[in-house]
Amino acid sequence: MKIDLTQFRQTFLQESVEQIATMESGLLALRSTPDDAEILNAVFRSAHSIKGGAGSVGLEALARFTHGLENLLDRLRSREMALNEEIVALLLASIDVLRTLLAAEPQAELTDEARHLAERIEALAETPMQTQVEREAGQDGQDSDEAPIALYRIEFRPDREIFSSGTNPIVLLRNLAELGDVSVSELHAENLPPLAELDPEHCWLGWTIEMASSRSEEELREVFEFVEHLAEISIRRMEPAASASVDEIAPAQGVRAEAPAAPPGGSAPVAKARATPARPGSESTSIRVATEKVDRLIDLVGELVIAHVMTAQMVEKFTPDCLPKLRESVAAMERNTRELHERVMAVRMLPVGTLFQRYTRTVYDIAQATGKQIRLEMSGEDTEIDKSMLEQLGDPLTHLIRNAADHGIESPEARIAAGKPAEGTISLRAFHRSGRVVIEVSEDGGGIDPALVRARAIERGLIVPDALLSDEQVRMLIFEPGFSTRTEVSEFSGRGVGLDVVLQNVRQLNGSVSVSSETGCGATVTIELPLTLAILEGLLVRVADRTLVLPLLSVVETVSPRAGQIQRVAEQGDVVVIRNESIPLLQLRRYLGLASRAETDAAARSLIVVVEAGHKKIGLVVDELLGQQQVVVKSLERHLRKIDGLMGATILGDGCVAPIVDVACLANMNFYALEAGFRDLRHDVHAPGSTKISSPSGEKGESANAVV
Amino acid sequence: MRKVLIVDDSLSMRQMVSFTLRQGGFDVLEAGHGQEALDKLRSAVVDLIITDLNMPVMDGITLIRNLRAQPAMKSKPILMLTTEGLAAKKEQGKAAGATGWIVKPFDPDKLLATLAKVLP
Repeated sequence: MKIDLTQFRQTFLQESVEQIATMESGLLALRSTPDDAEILNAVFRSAHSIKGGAGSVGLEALARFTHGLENLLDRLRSREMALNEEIVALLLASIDVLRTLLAAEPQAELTDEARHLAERIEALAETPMQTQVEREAGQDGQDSDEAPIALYRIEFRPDREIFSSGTNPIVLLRNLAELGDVSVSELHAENLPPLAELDPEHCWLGWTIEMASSRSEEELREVFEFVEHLAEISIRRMEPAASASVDEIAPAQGVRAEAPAAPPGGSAPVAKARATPARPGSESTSIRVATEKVDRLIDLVGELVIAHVMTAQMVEKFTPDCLPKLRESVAAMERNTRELHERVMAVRMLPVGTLFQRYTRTVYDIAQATGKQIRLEMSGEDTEIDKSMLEQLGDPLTHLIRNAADHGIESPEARIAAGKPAEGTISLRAFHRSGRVVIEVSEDGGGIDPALVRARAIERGLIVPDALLSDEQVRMLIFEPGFSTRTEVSEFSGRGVGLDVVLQNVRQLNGSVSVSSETGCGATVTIELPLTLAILEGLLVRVADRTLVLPLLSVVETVSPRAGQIQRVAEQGDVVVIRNESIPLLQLRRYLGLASRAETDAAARSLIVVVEAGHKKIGLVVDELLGQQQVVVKSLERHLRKIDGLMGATILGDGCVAPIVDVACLANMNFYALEAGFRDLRHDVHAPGSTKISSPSGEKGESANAVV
Repeated sequence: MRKVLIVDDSLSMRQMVSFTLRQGGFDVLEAGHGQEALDKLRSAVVDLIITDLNMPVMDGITLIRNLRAQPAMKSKPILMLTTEGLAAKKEQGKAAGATGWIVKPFDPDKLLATLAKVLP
């Protein structure tokens, strides 16, 4: 039977990515605490696991490369060698090689650079790296069909303690018997004590076997491979004609060849024969879930099934007095469903720490290359966030960290001159704030000088010279495409592309970016993200005859305005004044094209829902509040084009589709222009680029920028 | 059907061993480290245990010692999964009471052959 293990390559690769991350963060941590045996052990274990698996799934180059690494780590672990900066650098470089090998084609060979690195590691570990060729050479042909049959005399005298290793001597004898024809078997029971003194947990017996076999002596000896230290074993080859003079071969001479791990006919060639179509690492995505989470899910499903059965029975034999009970069991089902929902969502949540880890290396590399001294501090690594968001956060955070290390932190000399410690600090923090995940990247470097940013933005043509912008708005310009304050291009922060990607990526995740800075004291970039993209707590509102969903987290309050509370401000449109704060108003009826201006004014006494995005508040005018419920966000883009102001839609309990309002998008619109543009929009609806959705009921028969 | 417990902190290694064992007609239980193995063995009876040596929480050597101290496990076959080049570990495993060993990376056929070698 040939068993192909290459199907496990994907799991192996995924796991190895984590192992490599462990090694990397471990190595970086070892720089400050070189004697931490726990960390060193963890690093070793990771190398060990990679090596062990790589061969089995047919990744020969990886197995070979890790072999030397494992030996070196073993020597470090056993304190035969001390860890120093040079070794750390070497090990970090080999981690890069491991990453490359994981991403490469399975059959890919080591690059010259990698081979050179392997040699250096090998030289350090002083244990020659066994090459595959040697290993294969050690495997001599086992086809012994034509081998002559020889007569063997085997003496097997187990130690009394042999049972303590879980060995059953009878099994060994049976295995031996399978290798040939046993002619004589003699039992040695002379040591057997009287029954009263017999300890049944000790072995008192021995055997002498004579057998004819076509197998070599080594093969017979292999039967006893595991008990060589627990028995006296002698195997003698007798002359075919039962000649009297017998050459005795000393037992346990180490004749047994070290069993080769992966013989040529094994899994590796199978892997080569099968052309693996896709690149490793990009084939599929999967989530590893803690068993407890799954167990809880199964519990909940169980409870749900019970509740369902109870409900079904009640419906079956329904009498009016059952109603309270029926209500109760429906409520139980609702509780279960809700919890199940939450738990299923939690399955997708991963701690941001898995992402944070990699930046230690990023910072280390930049510090090494630029001669800066930078420390990376992290907090809130346990903060959980949706897996898909975590993946999409990788790049933006890399850009921010690089930017902070490369542009933010000054050289040690400049820092000392400014009265700061020579070592700069970048902190990466994650935490929850009002139902959202906040990730902050801050540095204690030179800060972002608004004057410089402004000058640069003008030079780049991003703003007009006399643009009226607050310092905060000016700082946000660094996220504009094509912005870069550095004239020389650095290896790390790229060419002025990058920070705009941050903004783009975060916006795609329904998140927001803000930046604060004090010149000379550093800067903080704050990313705010929803916990998950798939579900949200919604406030259901009625606008004309449509139901809309507002994300509850962005709702600040609802007011029914008194007369005079709504004012019309020149250049700004309508505002509502709440506790001396003027909040711009958006007539959802008009925005959604559900009413003419006259109708809107008539409905001015309706309700205002004040929502907040970033630090900006707006008032949305609605007709009625319908209630609050969890909604599952469905993307519109699969069916329609992206519509400004809507983040998706959901399906309500009665089967109706309700759009979900994108508050952040609305808050960033210029209402005044919007109001002014309404008339134009009306004429513009059929122009390319606008989205036309016919009214589901058909009665209005009109369309606007977004008809719902 | 005979049952084998495979103890390894590497998911892929467990999957590969499990797959091989199932192909070979065994029933398989898995544990991620020594402590989990001990926990599982409280409620399950297995015919053989295969364990890695380097694991977090509880390593393989400690697991083997622990098992050998239990009356029911005294004579149970236990195979250790080792990588070549770490002879010292193998000696420790033998001393702790391992029945035999399997070298990683393993050849599936050889793994099954090794099991046959120690199972009654």
